[in-house]
Amino acid sequence: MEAICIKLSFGLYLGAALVYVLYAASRWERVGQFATAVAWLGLGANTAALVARGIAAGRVPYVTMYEYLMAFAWAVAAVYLIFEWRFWGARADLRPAGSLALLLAVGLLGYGSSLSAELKQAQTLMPVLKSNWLIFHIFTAVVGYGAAGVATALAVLYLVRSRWPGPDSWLRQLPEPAELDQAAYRCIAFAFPFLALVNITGAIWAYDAWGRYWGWDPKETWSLITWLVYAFYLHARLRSGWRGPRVNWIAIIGFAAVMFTFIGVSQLATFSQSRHSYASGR
Amino acid sequence: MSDSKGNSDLLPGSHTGSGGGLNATPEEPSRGAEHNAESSQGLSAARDLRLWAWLYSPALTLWLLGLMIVAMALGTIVPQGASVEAYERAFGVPLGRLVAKSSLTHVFSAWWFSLLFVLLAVNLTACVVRRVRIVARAQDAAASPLTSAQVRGRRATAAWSIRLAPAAAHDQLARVLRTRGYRLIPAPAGAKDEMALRARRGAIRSWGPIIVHTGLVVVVLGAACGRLPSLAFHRTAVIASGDTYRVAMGEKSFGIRLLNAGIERTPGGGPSQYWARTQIVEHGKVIRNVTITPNHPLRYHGANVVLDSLFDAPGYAVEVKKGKSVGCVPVVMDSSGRVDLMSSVTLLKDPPWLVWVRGFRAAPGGEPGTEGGPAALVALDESGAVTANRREIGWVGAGGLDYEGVHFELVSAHASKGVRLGVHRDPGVPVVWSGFGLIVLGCLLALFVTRREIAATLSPKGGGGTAVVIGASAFGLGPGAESVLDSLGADLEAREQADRG
Repeated sequence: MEAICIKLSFGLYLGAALVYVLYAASRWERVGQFATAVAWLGLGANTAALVARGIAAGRVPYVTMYEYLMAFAWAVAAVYLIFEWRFWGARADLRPAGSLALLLAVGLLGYGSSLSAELKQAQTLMPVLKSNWLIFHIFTAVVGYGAAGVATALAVLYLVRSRWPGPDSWLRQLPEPAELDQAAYRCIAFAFPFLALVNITGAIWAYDAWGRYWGWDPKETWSLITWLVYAFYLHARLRSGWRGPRVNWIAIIGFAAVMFTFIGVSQLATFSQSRHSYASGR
Repeated sequence: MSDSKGNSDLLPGSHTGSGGGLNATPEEPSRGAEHNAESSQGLSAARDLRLWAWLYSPALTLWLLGLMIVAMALGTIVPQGASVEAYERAFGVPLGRLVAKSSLTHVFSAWWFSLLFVLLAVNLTACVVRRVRIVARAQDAAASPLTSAQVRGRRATAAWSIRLAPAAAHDQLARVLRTRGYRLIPAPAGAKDEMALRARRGAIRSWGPIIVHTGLVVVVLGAACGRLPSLAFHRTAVIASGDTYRVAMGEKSFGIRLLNAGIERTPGGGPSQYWARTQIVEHGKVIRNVTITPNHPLRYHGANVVLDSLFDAPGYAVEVKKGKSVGCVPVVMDSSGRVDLMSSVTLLKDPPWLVWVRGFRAAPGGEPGTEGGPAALVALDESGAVTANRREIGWVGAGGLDYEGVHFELVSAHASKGVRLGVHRDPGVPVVWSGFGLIVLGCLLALFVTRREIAATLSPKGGGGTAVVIGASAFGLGPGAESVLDSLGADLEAREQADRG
């Protein structure tokens, strides 16, 4: 059931992304509504897959690398769809950004499907992971990273659109750069507290598990670096008045830090001494 | 009634600039004030102002954040505390030696890294102090009459016509705002209040960023407390069953006696849980029994004791002889059945070798000298440290092995099982937890509360009506300024239709 749901969500996300592209080109409202509907169906399938995994494993379904990839994709799609429904709407139509956001979700699910069968198995929790803090720590990471992913999609679209701005541009069907810039800011403002909570819940858990709340472990350090990059973005924008391409490049660098924290850290030579090495997925 | 018009920035909820109040607040001292300060007292005051402005400047914040990001990244990429040879292997000989001499080998304990945190704390404190003054001032009664420019300077503006006299229109607008949860801000003394109106909702959100920054300062202070060597420590206790480890804490010293330790396994054979049954012993008396498991530490007198690992010493050691015995290397196994490399090591004096057991086989093997009994795989580093020159010299059994005039032999030793405990004390932890609490509170305010501000001017129109210009701003993730105006306009229109009806 879980495998079927994941394949279904992969296909629906991909389909929705393509329909969003079609909407961006045509601006036919029906096409946009259809894209949104398909995306919601994909989110439903993704949710069902996570629920099935949770029931099969008897715990929260976002512990192993494979499960986290499923949850990460779910969060990207969920944050995008909630923002589309709640904050955007008729005043600022940012649905073309859905194509990039959902392609990110597709990429995450695709990477998850490329893992070995052994890594896809629902493993029992190691003794050190048997803590209620696991639920909050990883959930805040899922939501924060998902929102960061949506912000990156908006930032990338901003950079493309601002390269050819104006109503006469060949990209005139895309939203205006100012709208994309503002939407990216709101996504990051939403993600920021969750990224702070990742570090806070992790520190409190580490105090119980390892005796100290901070040890400059590579995973801990890069999680803090990610939060600091987004702090840099917010301060540059709100206090120094930065706008335009450079602040959106910072948003993209922030997501690069997210991905490095998630996947890249395990490739560091120093990671072998990390207390997080059980989460490398290798 | 006319439709609302937004300005060029169409999306809701953004906040530009550093001020948040209805009145503009001065950011920097005026040029006039600086030119007039020609006396030495004036020059000193000007220098103090520049220093203060630098301390809370956004540029300093950005520089500090950027430097911290780079330093932390380097600290994870460059191996910390490794040998010179390890850096030479990683970076090549000239660069590796340069790196080995630099503080990049211990970034997180370097003085300049701590200085970045100190500067950040100072910067955050200066920002908090400044921001508190701005927010407190903005939440007081309006200091100056509202102008049209202030109304039009809002995120979104709209214009309506109301078929009422200005006073009645003012009252109607005030009623609508009150029913929507707005707090009306009193006009300054002497102002004609039927011509202007200010209202605010969710003002508490302004305190969100202040609380977050205060929390960060508190966390840095707590972390600083944890670096005080007189108060904080981080130790490893290796305790065999039946033994007691003394946690030295002056008058609050106590002992941890290990009764038993073990592993619960899953049906598949993997570890399900580790446990260690211990007793807290103080002044010769057992205070209480405590079972330590992962995520359930022992806490006593401010010490935090966690279970790091289990070990199993099967009762063998490698004795090193150079004519006479010069040392013994214990064979210690970890909970997964592999040799515990951190425990199975000894530094000899003569010869000055670091010797350790890298493997152990209880069953007989095929190497010479090991038939008929268990054997240990021995490695050594003749430099006396862990370097690339480490070499394995071979399996050592009861028959022994000779290497460069030194004899290695597997002998019987005391068999024991035990645990490795992490014993930590950090007096800054409650302070850090308080800081975390403030950060969470500030983030919740920023996430769930939207601060909205309305400023309106009313002017009489010909024919007995009133022209109303309303400016709105919204700060937060909730409905933006344009949405606020839309819903306000709908309310006003509904009331006007009701009045007509």
